[in-house]
Amino acid sequence: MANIETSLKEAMTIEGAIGVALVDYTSGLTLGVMGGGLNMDMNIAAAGNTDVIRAKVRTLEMLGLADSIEDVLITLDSQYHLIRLLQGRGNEAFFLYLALNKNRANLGLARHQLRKIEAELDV
Amino acid sequence: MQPSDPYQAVRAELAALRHQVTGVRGCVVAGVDGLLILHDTVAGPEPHDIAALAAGAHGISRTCGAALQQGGFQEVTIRNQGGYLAVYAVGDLALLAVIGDSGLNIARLHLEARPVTARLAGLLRIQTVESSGYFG
Repeated sequence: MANIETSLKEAMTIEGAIGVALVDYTSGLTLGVMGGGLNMDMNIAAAGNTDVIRAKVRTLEMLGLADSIEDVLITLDSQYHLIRLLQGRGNEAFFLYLALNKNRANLGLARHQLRKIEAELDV
Repeated sequence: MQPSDPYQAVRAELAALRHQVTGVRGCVVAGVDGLLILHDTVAGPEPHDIAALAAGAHGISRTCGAALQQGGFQEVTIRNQGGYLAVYAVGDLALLAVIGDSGLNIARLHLEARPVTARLAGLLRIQTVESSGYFG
C-alpha cells in the first residue's frame, strides 16, 4: 500500500501529467495536490470537479441504476482530465483527479497507471 | 425586491452565492456586534440568530488570531454532523455568515465567497455613507 504523498508523486510520473489531486467529494476539499503550476490551481479544479462527480452520482440515482462510477474522462482541446473514484473505502468518498497534456499523454496507458495507483492508495 | 432598495446589489451578491453553490441554505450579513444588516434566507434558522452566532464565532476566532499572533480575522468554518456555518470577514466591521447543509461543497463555497466579501466590503461602505444622514 502507498500513502498519499507517494501516490501523487507516482501520478505525476505519468507521461504528460500536468497536475494531480486527491479530493474528498463530500466537502470538495483536497487531501493532497501536486503539480498544476501557475496556469492551473488544483484546489479550484478539485472544488469544481466535486460538483461534476456529484451531478453524475445524482444522475445515476435518478436513473435508478444500481451502479457506481469507475472513472470519468473529460477531453479538452489541449488536455485530458481523468477522474478516478476510490473504491471500497467505506463511508469515505474520494477521487483522484489527473490533468494531462493531450499531445504528450497516452490515454490508455495513463488510465491503466491511474487505476494501479488508485488500487494501491491507502488513505 | 424593490427597485429603490439601496441594498439591491448586496442582495444580488447573496442570492448569486446561494444559486452558484449547491447546499447553501442562506446568507446573512451582520455587524461584528452581532446585529443583522440584511439576509438572504428562504427558510430555516432565524436570521437574527445567525447574525448573533456569526459574531460569537468571530469573537473566538479573533481572540485566537490575536493570541497566536496570526493577524486579523479572515474566516471560520464550523462543521457539524448535519451542516456548516461559515463566517467571513467583510472589511473590519461586518461579517458574512453562510449556512450550508451537510452536502455543501465547502471548498467551492470558500472559492466563491472570498471575492464576494471583497465586493460586499466595497458596496456596504459606499452605501452606509451615502444613505445615512450622519456624515452630512
